[in-house]
Amino acid sequence: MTATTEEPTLYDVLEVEPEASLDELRAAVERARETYGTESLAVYALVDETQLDEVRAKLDEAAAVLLDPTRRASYDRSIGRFGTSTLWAEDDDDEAPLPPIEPGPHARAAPLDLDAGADEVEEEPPPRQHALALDLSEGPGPFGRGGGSAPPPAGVGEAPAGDASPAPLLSGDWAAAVPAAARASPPPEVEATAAEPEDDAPAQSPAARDRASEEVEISEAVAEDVAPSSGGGLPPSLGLRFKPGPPPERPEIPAAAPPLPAPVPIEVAAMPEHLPELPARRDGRIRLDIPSDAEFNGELLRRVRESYGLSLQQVAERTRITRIHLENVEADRYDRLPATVYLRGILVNLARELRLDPARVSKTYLLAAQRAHGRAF
Amino acid sequence: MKRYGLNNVVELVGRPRPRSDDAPGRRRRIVAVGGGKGGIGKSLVSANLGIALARAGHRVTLVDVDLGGANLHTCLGINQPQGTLSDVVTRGTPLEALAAPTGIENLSLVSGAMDALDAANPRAQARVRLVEQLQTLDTDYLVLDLGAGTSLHTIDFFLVADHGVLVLLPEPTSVENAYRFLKAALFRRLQQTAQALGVAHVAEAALESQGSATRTPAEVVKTVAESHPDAAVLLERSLRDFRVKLVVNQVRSPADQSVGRAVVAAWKKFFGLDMDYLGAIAYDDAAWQTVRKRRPLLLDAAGSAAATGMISVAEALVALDRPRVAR
Repeated sequence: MTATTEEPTLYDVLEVEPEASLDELRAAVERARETYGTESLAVYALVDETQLDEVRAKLDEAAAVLLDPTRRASYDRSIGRFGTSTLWAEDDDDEAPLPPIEPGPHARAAPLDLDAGADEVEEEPPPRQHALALDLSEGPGPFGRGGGSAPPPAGVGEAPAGDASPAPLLSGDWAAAVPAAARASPPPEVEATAAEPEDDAPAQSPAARDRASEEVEISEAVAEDVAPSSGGGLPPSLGLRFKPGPPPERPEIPAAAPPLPAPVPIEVAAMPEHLPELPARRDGRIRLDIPSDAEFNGELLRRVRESYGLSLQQVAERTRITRIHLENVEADRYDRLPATVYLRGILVNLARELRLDPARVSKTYLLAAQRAHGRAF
Repeated sequence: MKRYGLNNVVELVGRPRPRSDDAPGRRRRIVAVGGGKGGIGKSLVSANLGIALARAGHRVTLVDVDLGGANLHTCLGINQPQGTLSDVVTRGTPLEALAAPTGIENLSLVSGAMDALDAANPRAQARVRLVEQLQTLDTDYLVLDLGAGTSLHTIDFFLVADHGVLVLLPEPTSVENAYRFLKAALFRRLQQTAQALGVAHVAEAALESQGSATRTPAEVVKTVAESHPDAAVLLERSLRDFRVKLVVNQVRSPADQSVGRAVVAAWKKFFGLDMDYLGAIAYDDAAWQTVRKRRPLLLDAAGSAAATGMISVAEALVALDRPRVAR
């Protein structure tokens, strides 16, 4: 294409022309999801999972950048394409009532979010939700900060006091909720939380609860914002890295549901009758909610393993990774781990066994290893 | 480009063959139908593809090269012809003499049934003779029905063809085997071409340098080009000619419908090679029933969804040749 570098451009990645309109881009993203997504038959046994995950990560990136007008414009500049933004903005003008570049709603909405988030988290979410929803459904989508998968909510998410959730989009606020849940004092006080309609966050200690329910509201708001946009052809995350499906849409726990959920999954492994109530209901599996941007280290991997009630021995038998390696992985004993090629294989294998995103696990773990150990990865 | 003699199979499939445009006038096309897995409808596709082509006025010879499990005659509803490919291999009978009428105008069949114990795996010498005869047979379309698996002779027939047709079902087992078959064929093409060009060692090294069986052909070519630029050009052309034609059989759902396109895209993405999608054939009880009755689908259930799909596959295949022939 037009890029002078050897590196394929993000347009190449999505197999579209740099002049592609937003609709064309969306269609390309949808096609890519169908072709390379976790459900796709077409990539089954074609290449190894690592290669596949690299491609998925690239596609995710391409979608995140190109579907966001601002990011697309600056990306275009970075590859030496000037004036494209005008080009495709015109395209969209033709096709849709609201030109994406128009300073109006977009410009106003964003700063508003930030202010609001900083000041009054409780108040703001609903209005913002509307603002975004409006943008998304009426505009062709470049507003679609919401449409742009991961990054947008991250931007929005800075607002709520920083402690909140960059990734409410995928699986709820894991970072805040799960460790809290894991360490929090057990069941008794859970009742109230479980009865609440926002069941996205696992039950927590009362201390964490208030904060958590705010976060839940926010994450639900964001997720709902995004949902309509996915109707417009844009899933919140491409579903390339993680299985698609915005969690908050799930129906609430029936009132009758016994109030154990959160702390339990860590310990309880094989209690099928509890499955429907547990945080990760959509898989029908007991699972920690892990955001798409989680950084995996040994500790986290161990927790996930334990949440399945799997012993090291069992994992070793199932994955054929030796127990020693597994122990070293979980203990972050980088110096005792095998060479990177093998380590990556181990991580990918382990991640698969634990139903985690293999690319994410191997990438973040290797990165951490590199940082800590100075290994050349 | 130089023309090479057909001295052996390596020569045949390994060297870049002259492009069809070079050949004057009408030229026989070899179509090989494979797919790796058994029971995915290769014989059914071959038989009905043959019928569709014959009905369109082409002279077609079906050849059952599923040497160990030949049953193309059953798909056509005829008895096994007297002479089979084993006569070519063991007695040197000319192929022409073996082509038996099928009761369908323009369509004849050469049976591949080989009953001698080791005949199903003919030695290289015999395979070469077979391939030579196939290439010179007087007909418009030669449709080879390949066996399951990735044995060398199956792959060589696939590589010899002008059109390697890959049949797959929209299910993981079939997709897996189809990819294994494709990769084996591609690898063999690469190996043989490199060998013929005298750069086998370079190609081998390129393949192994990353320890990955799935290095893209382009990467290998690039590595070869560093030391042998001329050979790299030919190597690239040979690999680019590895342009598989895809048929998705037994399609049931809308999601199944998109599998073909997705396979084409994924193959291109990871291997950098084009693939032509010929179309999908619906899952259809009619097809199954005609098999039970030992009657060809296109004759016995001509209006069925499966038959319609089969015909459009045949049309897509012929369309691929049209521009070249017209030239």
